[in-house]
Amino acid sequence: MTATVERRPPETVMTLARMGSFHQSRLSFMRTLLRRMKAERWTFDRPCFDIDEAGVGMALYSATTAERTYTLVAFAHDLPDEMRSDRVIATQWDTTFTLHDGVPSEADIERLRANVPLQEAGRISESELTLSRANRSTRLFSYVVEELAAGRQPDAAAIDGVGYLMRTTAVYGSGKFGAADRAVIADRSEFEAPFQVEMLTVYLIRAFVLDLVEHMASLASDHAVPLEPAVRRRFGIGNSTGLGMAPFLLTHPRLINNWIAAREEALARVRSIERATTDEIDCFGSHLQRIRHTLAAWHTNHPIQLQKIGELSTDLDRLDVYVEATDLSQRSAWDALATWSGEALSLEGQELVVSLLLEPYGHLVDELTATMHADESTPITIDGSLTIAEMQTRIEQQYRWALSIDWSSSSADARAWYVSQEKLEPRLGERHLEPITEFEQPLQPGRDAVRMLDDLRRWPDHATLATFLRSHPEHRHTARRTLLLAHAPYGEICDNTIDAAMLPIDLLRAKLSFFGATHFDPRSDRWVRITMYQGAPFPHELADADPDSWTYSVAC
Amino acid sequence: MDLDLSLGEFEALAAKALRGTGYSWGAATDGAHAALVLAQNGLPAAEIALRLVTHVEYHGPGTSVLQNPSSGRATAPICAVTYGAALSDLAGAAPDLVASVAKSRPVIEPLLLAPFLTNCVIGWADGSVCVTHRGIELNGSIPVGAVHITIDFDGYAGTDLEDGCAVRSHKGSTRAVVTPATYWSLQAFAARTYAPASKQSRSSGAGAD
Repeated sequence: MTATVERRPPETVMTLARMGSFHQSRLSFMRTLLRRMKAERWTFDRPCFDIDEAGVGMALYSATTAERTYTLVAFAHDLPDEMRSDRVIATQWDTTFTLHDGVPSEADIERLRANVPLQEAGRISESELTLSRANRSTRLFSYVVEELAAGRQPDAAAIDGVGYLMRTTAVYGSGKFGAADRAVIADRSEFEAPFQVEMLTVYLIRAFVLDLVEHMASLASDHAVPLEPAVRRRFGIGNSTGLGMAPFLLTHPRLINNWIAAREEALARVRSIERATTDEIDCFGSHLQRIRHTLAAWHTNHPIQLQKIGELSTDLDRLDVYVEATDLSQRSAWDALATWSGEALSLEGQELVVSLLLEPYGHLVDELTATMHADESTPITIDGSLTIAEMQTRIEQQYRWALSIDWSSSSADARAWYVSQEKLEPRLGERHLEPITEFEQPLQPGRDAVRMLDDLRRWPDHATLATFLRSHPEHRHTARRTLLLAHAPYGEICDNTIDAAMLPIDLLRAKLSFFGATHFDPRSDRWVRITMYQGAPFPHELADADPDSWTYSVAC
Repeated sequence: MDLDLSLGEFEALAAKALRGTGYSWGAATDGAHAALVLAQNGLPAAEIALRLVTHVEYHGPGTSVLQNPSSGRATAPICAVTYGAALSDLAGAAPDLVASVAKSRPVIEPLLLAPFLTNCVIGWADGSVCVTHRGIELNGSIPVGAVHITIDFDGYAGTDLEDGCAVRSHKGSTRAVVTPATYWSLQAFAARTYAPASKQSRSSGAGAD
């Protein structure tokens, strides 16, 4: 389908405040994976589950496509409560995992047993695709084991108050710690869409965690009961994500462009629909009602997110009134709704409307997931034949938003991104308070573009970019980025990433929403807890389940 | 025991080592990708990268001036990454000039120049590399340090940008095997890009209360 309504411009979409209000959608990577697994009739197995009453041991979970098998190798440990930490500086975890490419041999398992529990301090090989770990929820894990052991189902409110039994604190892929590079698996259709390996890992981890809690209950009591299926599905997998993820959106402009462009194209296609059918209107209305249950289960103590949830609640009231008063079968009703939401709702509300509008239109938008990957294996060539005047024009057009910032203000460059010596993780420091400027990473494209423009203006218009860069190699990364943006209009965040008021959680929210995460719970301005796969069918249920509808809560 | 690095790990290490030696972020990206391509072609990329940063550490990066063909033979050595990036940039501006300026001069670790070019033969006293779309083929010894090279574009059209990539990737090796000594030496250069942890940074990361 060709959209007749134009996509929203990058300057509108790519602000941090809006990106920090994105919600999961049909294009989210978890949903992409579940649709594929169901459509291709993947089979799942648990060839090994050797865990003792203390929760210590090993398990294997396999997922088999028509051509290959992938195996989650899970190690469960007995971790004292005082050792449990979500920090990247932690050295022990309740459970550790790797996704093995194939069926592991005994030798593979012994190799992994010696390395996977060490996480960053160990090494995995090209036969492994991810490395991960998870910690128990101190609030919920023991409670659920005890309830099941006593022959009772856990209380639904207690489950929904947390949403998960374990939360992952890292899911490393793409060559990290010796794992296979993305290029090794990029030509496999099942991993064409972004982050499918990581999403598969977490999906199998969830199955393991629920099996583990039932297993521990059964070992504790002869009267133990398993979780009822509907109760079981209420558990997702938690995740704690911090600054380590934040630079990703800045260092992968081609990939981010493709994610956002797909989402904007999907919205444009729906807005271009001349008349919605009754089924489509009903589908939209059903999801609009169900989102209220999701909202009711969205818990946070963070003041900014609390305010946003409050605004979203008001938005839903307004949306209900609008939908009630509007004939959605009239011409261009979706376009009118999207236009209205941009004027009447908060950013949270506007972006939720985007997700809701896509729900009835899988046949129009799901195919766009095939456009969301990017080959980032080769840096783009710098066209040195461009003149100084041409390069100035490009920067002035593509970084118009940055030119309006007073970069001489101390608040405009208050922060600096750097990598800490201690854990080799990205950090965001206070430039004017800490000695970090000399270690600054190139994660402030707006400021760097303005600096390059200042130097370009001192050169003759007819000189070439090639000549300029030989004298100013410090602008080489900006030149390359600017040229890239001509082909990747959604590749740049149109905001100051080192401003005193910048919120790293906005970067995290944007990326995690594309994963399909829900229940964003910021714990500070730079790390967030989320829930993944809450409500999703388990591997043994997938063949008979809807791979999409689980993402919106249903009433208790 | 040698380390078996993913190419992503190796490229990131090379980029940080180059940056730690003083290269700009953009040049470090170019140089690291060139090292990656050498690794993909089965060449000892980590050792070459280490020699480059070590040479630059003690002798500086050499000149950044490209010799005008009318001024005769260039004598000042130039770093392969700086030279390769400049030739890549020039390919769009003045393809004919590339063939002219590139012909003969001393280059520091010239194998790293190969990934920036294609359809040429880079030669030195006792060896050469043939660079084509199929890959990088070494004949003879590996050049070490600042070596006088010639680039023969005869029969070719100069630096080829037809697919938009001056630095090519070749399918070949998917890993970089690195000796511990080389690895830790590169890490020492890379470590210069890391800031000492502060109390504030520790207290603001993920999972902090």
